[in-house]
Amino acid sequence: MAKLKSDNPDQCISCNICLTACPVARATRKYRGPKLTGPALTRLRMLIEDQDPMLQYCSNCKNCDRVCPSGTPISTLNMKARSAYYKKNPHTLAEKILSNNELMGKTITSIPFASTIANLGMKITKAAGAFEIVGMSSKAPFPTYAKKSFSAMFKSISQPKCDKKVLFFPGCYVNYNEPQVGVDLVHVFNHNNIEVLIDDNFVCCGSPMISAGYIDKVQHNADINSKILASYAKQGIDIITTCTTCALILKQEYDELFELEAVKEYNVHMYDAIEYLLNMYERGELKTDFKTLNKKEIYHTPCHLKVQGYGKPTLKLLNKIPGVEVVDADAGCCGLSGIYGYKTNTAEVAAIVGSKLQKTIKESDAHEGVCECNICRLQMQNNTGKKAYHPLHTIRQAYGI
Amino acid sequence: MSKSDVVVIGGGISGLFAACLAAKKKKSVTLLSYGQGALAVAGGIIDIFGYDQDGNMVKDPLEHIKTLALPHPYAKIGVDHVKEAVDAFLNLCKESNYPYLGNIRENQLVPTAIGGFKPSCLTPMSIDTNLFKKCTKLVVVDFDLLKDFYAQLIAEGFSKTCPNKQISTITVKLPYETGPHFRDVSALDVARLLEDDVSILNVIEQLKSKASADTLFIFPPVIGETPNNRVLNKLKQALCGNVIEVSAIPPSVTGYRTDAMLVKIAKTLGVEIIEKANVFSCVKEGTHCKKVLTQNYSHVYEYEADEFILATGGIFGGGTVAQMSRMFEPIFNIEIDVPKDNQQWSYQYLFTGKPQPFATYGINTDESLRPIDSNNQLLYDNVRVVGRALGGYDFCYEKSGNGVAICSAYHAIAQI
Repeated sequence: MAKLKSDNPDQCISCNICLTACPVARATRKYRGPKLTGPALTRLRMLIEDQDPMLQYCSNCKNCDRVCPSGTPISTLNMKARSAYYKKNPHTLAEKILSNNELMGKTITSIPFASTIANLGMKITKAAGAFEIVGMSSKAPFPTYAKKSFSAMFKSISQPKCDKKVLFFPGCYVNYNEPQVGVDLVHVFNHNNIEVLIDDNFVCCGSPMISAGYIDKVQHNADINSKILASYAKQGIDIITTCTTCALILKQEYDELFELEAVKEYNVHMYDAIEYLLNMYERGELKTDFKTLNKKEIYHTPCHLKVQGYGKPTLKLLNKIPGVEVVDADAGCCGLSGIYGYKTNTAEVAAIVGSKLQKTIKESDAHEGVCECNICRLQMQNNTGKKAYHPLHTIRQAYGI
Repeated sequence: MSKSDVVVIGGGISGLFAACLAAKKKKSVTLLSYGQGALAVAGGIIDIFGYDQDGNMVKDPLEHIKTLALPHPYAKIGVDHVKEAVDAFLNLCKESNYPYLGNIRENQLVPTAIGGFKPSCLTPMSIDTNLFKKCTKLVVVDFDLLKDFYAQLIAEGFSKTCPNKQISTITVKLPYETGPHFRDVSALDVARLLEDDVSILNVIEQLKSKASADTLFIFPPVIGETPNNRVLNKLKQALCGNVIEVSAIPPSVTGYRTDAMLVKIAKTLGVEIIEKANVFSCVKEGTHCKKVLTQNYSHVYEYEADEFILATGGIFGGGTVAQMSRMFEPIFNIEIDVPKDNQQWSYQYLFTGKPQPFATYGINTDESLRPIDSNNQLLYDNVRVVGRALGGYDFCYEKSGNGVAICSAYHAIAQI
């Protein structure tokens, strides 16, 4: 195992490269930038209590971590400082609501017709201006709720018995908002003689809570998830994710935030779904009975994938499908960054950050967008006139299953 | 596992340039970088050779390179490849619509952020040193609220270095919001603002009354964010063509543009760039490297190739590691020959015009830049070392850093 740099602000050599890559600093001067807010002020925070409201402007997109030559966990220092800030300062109502995504999703998808009512209700409250009252932006592209959760849908899929099994961590978005991504995954993996397991005891990875400054609450989730993940990894079962943020939290941030020993037991078994399929392709194990699709897709790389250090597997794999041309949008951060794009005080910044991606997609001659990250896809569809799908959608389509 | 013709490790100027050259030769190239290269916050000018061993300014870098002996990297690269490397760099920039000025036979005097001059060889169009020779009046342009740029200091410096010129300063005001809830204004902020057509007109409006055929406007490094000279051309058009930038402390936008240009060229040529790739080891058979390994908070990734370019930098960039009595390169595990007594590594008096011994420490190589041990035995037959990881030169004292970077990259790729 490669020895990585510890959680230490003095790793930072103040080179300022992170400032040049920070999409928020580009969009607004209300944010001091990653280096000063993160490592530089963390050194001071070790001496005195900090009451810095500028902390709310970090979107935790991790572009600073990506470009840092010293391996400083800049964004995590920011999130830790934000959490400490909220021990002395009240949370906004929006933060309380948005960080409760799991409870809302679970409740709404478990009651018949509740999602229809909730989605309609969201439209009405938005129209009535009630979003702004609680501090949420009515302009941001909110996700809609699914009729049935992924775990409910999963139970009705009859999978073939296979020797090879993987565990899927769906995350809240696939579970409650877009279960189709999970369904596509099961079919694509089954087609390649791999059985997909899920575990009903998983809880939210905690990403929205980290962004909202509730790190203490996340420790509970981290304990539950890491124990389950480690128990599968011990049996030699690989773990698959489709959400790049969940993956990052499970693989890396549980370790950075809570130094959980279990993380090292399972993170070597974790794979993004497309990364896993590309590895199979490169070993000659992936079925390539693809139909010709005749379409052009524009691919956006999520920031949370870029920072994981394994390139862009989607770009490579989808281009292997006959008749599919995938171009790289290369247009920076989508801006939404979890709950950041939905809170009134930062939604404006998120909109500026995401405008380059929206413009690139709108002006592209591609038929549709493609991206691993659920929230990025919402921005890709926001006023661009194009749909955006998870790459598994295209792969399943190519298999004709 | 990914397989390519060439794997380049390191995304600074030497790694990016090597990757572009290899891709131009129709090789499949994977570039592994951990963090962005220092070029993005550096000055972006290309020093080839500035000062000789006695500290005298070199007039003709190429002539001086001819006099260098081994183990200096230039002596291994050879005069022909140095010339070709510089031409290749100039051509690449030109093709990318961001041409560089200068030639290998002449050092230019580049103005500095304290009103002095330093020798350098190739500069972007925004640092056209001929304008300095031509103009008799200098106007140092400051921007209200811009930090880390001291127009008065620069003006005072030039009043000493250019006693025959008429020197003044002017402060441009931009509509920045102020207060405790706003970040200080950096050169990069101004550069981004000047990309906006209305803002640049605002700047021109405040300067144009001073413009004349022999008045040179000396700007902080704010002349546009993108490497296309669009902002420069607009300013030149409005200010009688007399506009020049000086570099300032990071984030210095001049290097940021050059970095953006090289990354763009690499992507266009089909180089696969893997960011945040923490290369920690390699797999070899005898002296042949089969693949390098990366790992962050996950499983190990393998990158197989026929040829490897090591462009990870020196101690500062993490390419070499210094410990008590020892220095080594961590990926290929190459020991670097250094004095056992660490006290001998440095010269105790700083700023006395003397070179520091540690500055020349780096990987020893054969003439084709492949690493060798202290008995001159070849360690790897398909690994070539480029840029600051090389030993045998003092980029700081000589002012030869980016020059060795591009020339060693060219020499390495010429052989594969």
